[in-house]
Amino acid sequence: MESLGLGYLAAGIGAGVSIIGAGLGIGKLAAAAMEASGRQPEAAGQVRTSMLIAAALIEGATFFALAICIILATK
Amino acid sequence: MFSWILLSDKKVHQAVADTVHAVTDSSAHAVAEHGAHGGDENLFTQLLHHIYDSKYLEIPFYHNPDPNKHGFELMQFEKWYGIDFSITKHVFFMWLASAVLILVLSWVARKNLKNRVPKGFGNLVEVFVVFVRDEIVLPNMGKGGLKYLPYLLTNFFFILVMNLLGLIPYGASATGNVSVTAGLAIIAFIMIQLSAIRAQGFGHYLAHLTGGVHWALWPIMIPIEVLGLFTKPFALCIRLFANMTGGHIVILALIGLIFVFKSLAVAPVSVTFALGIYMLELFVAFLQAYIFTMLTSLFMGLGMQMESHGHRH
Amino acid sequence: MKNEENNAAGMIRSVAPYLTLGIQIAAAVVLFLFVGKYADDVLGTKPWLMVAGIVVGFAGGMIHFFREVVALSNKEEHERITKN
Repeated sequence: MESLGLGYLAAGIGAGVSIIGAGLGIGKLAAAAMEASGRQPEAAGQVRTSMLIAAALIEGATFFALAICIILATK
Repeated sequence: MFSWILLSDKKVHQAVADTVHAVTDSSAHAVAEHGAHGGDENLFTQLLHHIYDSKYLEIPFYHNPDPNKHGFELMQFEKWYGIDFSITKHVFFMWLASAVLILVLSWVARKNLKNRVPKGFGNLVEVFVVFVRDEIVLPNMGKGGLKYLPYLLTNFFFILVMNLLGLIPYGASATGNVSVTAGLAIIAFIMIQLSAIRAQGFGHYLAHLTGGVHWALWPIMIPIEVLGLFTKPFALCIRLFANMTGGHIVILALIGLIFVFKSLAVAPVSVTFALGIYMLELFVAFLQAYIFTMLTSLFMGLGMQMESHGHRH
Repeated sequence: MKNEENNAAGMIRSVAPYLTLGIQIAAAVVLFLFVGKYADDVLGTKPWLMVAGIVVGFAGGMIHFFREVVALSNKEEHERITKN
């Protein structure tokens, strides 16, 4: 196997693993937010806002990882 | 009971190919033809050929005498400063969509002007127009957005007709081409910026680009804010393209399963599933036109409201 | 603005300002990474300007993120007060 092939492999595995992490994170976040707004429906607006902010942070970190994978794959 | 299925590979193949050729368009035929040459290692790339743009137009009951040319050859031009202006399949269907819109909508408009209570097809079109006005433009942009209603309506109907043209036999959806959606997104980008500049004034618009930070941070913040202007239309472009391409790939892949397994027994299942996906595609065609129009008007509205809320971070 | 959140369109409308927050951070990093890489090629200072670009891009992305979040939550607070 060439080193270039290993680079592609790393890019693919990296993309997959980072998406697993993001999926777990956003899933936990959404579950907690649903529970919170179920307990206190009057605070649903605030819960949604803070959920979106945290989701955006997770998303940003994931995009960062994916950008590294894309750079690795196009090298 | 499977004796009729377990014929020799080649025989089944020929039978399937003939049937498919008789009932569907030549895209499936090309898959069959390819399979008949043996080996399906390139089946996926073969499928992609029917989604990519091409120089040939597939026309019912027309076979190009030249075996290398799949269908009617469209007009080809010389490259002009390195840019290829040849008319391709997707360009043809884009023009067809605009021709359909110009003819049908002007006819409907003239008809609706005559009778106050529109009926029939005029009523259907009016439902969409009123929906775009009352459910998309007014809640997102307020009364000030009504002057952008013609643009958004054009956007909605153009994308809708382009999506639907891909669902008729021998058709292709021009929105499954990233250049077309990029063009639509560039127009959306210009409209978003223009509406923001008109509502806020050019000075306020530039002031927003600095992000309101200390001037020492401007070299960092201005590129990031300018980048932020591009992310929204970019997402619009990719969303429409991926949705339209994805559905077509799923349909072609389900039909392609018949040729992968080389058995007629797969056909009922895969055709049923393909029909289901086709129905979903019909829904997605409307949904994506709605989403594109909705998000464009939403982003225009966000830019326009900045002034009324007082631009103070 | 009556019971906005109860339909899908209202939901998209309230979520929309947050949609591009995440990609903005990564986009800032990638932008400054390429600026740094280009500067490296011109000045011959491999890999330091690229690393500096990543740091600057991340810092800028985070500053932008928090400014935007504060502005959005202020706006939402303002709307909540004026509605009641």
